[in-house]
Amino acid sequence: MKPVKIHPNSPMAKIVLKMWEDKQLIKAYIRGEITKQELESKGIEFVNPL
Amino acid sequence: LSLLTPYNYRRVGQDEVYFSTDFQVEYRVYFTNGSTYFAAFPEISHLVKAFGFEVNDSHVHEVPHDPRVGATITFIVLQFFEQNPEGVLFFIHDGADGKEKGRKRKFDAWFKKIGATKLYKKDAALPFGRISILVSILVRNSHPLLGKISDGLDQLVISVTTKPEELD
Repeated sequence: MKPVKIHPNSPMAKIVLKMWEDKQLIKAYIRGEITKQELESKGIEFVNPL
Repeated sequence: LSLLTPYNYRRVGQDEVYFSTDFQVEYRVYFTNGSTYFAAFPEISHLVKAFGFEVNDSHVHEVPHDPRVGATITFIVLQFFEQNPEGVLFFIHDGADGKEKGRKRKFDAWFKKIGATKLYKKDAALPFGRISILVSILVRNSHPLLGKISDGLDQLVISVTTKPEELD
């Protein structure tokens, strides 16, 4: 199914942009470029639901 | 072994999940607390987890094609829903290198192959410079709040202003 287009001025746009920024930080953390503390200071919290 | 046999994954510490492939590539799979993304929806916000996976070695530049990676990721996602039947999974298809559409197609194919018919998936795309940021939201088809979640998502993607052209 074709993805729904998110309007740039919508609440979802803000959510997706924040999530995209968080993903870049997580990648930097996995590459060892930032610490877990730095990650957590940005409000990113790993959980294990498995 | 079947090409669709998932690799065994292992947990390290509280929240780290890894698996290694026959090609000596190690992946880290992660879940993060996604409640803050949907703080305006307290009914579901506590159920939301963001999901992702990355190659766990910055020295690996060429990752060989390996269908078992998809099988493993899919298996982990299904495990999530086994253990969190009312969970909401939010997934962003990595688009930093402009390959987000290919990744989404691969993700869709993984789910089709294992017959994940018990899951409702909604995809959405946000234009962002040269690329689109593609996201998928997954919930069980039998989720008691499925209707609300689906309707809520439809509302969230719409502009908050009816006539943006009139703004300064």
